[in-house]
Amino acid sequence: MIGKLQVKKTIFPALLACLLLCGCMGQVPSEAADFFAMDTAMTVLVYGEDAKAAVSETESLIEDLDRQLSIFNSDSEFYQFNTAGQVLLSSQNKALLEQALELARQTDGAFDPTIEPVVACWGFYGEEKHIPEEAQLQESLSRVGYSHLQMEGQLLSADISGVKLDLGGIAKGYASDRAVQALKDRGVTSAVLSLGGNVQVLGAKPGGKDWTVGITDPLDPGGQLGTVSVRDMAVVTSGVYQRYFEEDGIRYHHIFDAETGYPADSGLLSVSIVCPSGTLADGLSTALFVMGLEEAAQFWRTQPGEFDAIFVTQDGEIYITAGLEGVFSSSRSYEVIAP
Amino acid sequence: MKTRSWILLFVLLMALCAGVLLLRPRPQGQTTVCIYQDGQLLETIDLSQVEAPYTIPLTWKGSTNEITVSPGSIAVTWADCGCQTCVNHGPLQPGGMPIICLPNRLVIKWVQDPVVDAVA
Amino acid sequence: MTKTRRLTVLALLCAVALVMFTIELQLPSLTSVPGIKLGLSNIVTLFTMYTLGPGSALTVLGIRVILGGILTGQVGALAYSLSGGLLAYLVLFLLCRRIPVKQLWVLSVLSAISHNVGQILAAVAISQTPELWWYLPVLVISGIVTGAFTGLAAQFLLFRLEKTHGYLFSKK
Repeated sequence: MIGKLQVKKTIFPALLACLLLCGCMGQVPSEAADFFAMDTAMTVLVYGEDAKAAVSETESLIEDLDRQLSIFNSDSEFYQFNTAGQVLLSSQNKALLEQALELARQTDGAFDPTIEPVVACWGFYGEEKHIPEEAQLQESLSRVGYSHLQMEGQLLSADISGVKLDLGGIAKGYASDRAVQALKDRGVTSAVLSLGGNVQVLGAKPGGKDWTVGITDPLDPGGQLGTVSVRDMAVVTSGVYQRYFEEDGIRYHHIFDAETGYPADSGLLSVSIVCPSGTLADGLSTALFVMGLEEAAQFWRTQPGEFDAIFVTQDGEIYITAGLEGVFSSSRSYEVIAP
Repeated sequence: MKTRSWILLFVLLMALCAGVLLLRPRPQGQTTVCIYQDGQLLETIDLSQVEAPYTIPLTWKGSTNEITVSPGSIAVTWADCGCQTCVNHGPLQPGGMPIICLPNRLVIKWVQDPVVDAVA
Repeated sequence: MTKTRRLTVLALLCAVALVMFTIELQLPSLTSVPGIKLGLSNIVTLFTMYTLGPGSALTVLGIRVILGGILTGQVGALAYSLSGGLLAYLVLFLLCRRIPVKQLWVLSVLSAISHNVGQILAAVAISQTPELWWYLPVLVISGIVTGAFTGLAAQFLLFRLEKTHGYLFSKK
């Protein structure tokens, strides 16, 4: 016999079950945007209730940062420093510069934000890339060196004239860090940003799986040499195939050695960094490329747990740091660098 | 219903599922690409549906790219930009970077890359 | 059964379900197909269903799914677990009076199949890829096998306890 109470007791759980079930179905929308900023193609993909708004805000944020950091935009404090020799930095810009300088110190100049005169000398800022005259190159090189920079409070200046900044080596990484932070503040738990070759992921994929990020093969830039499975990480690659020109069969790429003024000839074709901070990943990818395999491996050993790296040598050999075991997978053979 | 009947039912069901598993068509890998210019989606092409190769000439602000679409493949075969990165990229590969012509703001990529979520 | 006793028993059952859930996670996965698992904690759900009733069973299931997800760091998978668990419960709820305890394993099989259907449903809805429905045949087979296993386990458990401790669970 089914009494009224019995019916109530059974109907209610059933209804609750239906309601909850409906709630589970057809949610977690996503939204993506493709746009150009910082002189490269960018893609932002966000999952979540408010994905559309989040994506559009992210796009605006990155475009704002582009204006803020670009040395070709007259509103940018860095442009002003480059033209006037000194500038009062906003606290955000100062913080970023200090991060850049710290990185320069740690890598002993392998990453150097004052590399601008050399890059300009080689014509990499326009369409006219060329091998510069030796005298011109030496003159440019004399103005390169992060130790020339002086910071007093908010005032940035240099001890010689003609020192110029280019934060392009960490701008994209910084932008992805800021974007990810803004998304987190918004409550987003799953997103992937691809800013040029700078990838940064927030959380994991909906469903809990790690994101799969491919690593470009420098010998076949259309393809990949392997993948890393990550969450809450940035993956940034610096490689010889990204910006370059060729003359007489020799390739001149865009990763300059601040000591020689020439594209770094360290025996590497590309370096990919995996670490939680986009800014760090971006800067380190440049620095470690300039260092070369041996020095970079040593550097990695002095910073246990800070980051991991994938190196591709000129012979096409792949090396990964031990922290990537189980994270990196590839159909090619590779060596693991022990701590 | 008798227990025996239930057992029979479930065994048949399992056989059916096994049959489906063995005989099903391989689920289609993602083969659709999209072409963006200056952030605008121009075209979506399912490469597995392409029967014969054809070319798409794209002109933007006076600069031209020529895209060649073949069965199962897409590539930029000509560009008047100085860098030629897009041409040197070769055909779009699963798990590889999108084809990008920066000066002409051209991006060719998978709608959903079958192998990776992003490429660094 | 007094309220306090009921509460205590429920709490204990939840604990048992959670422990089984956690332990099961440690077992290596049988196949690469996501969602294939033994579902050992369902033994508890079934047991509760036939001794304390559908309401209590829902409670134990809900707590196991939610706390289990939180405690084992699988909050992201919560949507799938909930979807599967609720569909499974719905089936249990609708059929538990129609199916005698002797055929508990049958109910368990039907419920396990529904659970897997629910998971695929959530997966398709969330990732917007209908292709995932292709996993259904595998999950149905798995559901039949694991459902039979857990159902039989629950069955034997109930019969045993009835024999030795029948007085512990008075009729609802």
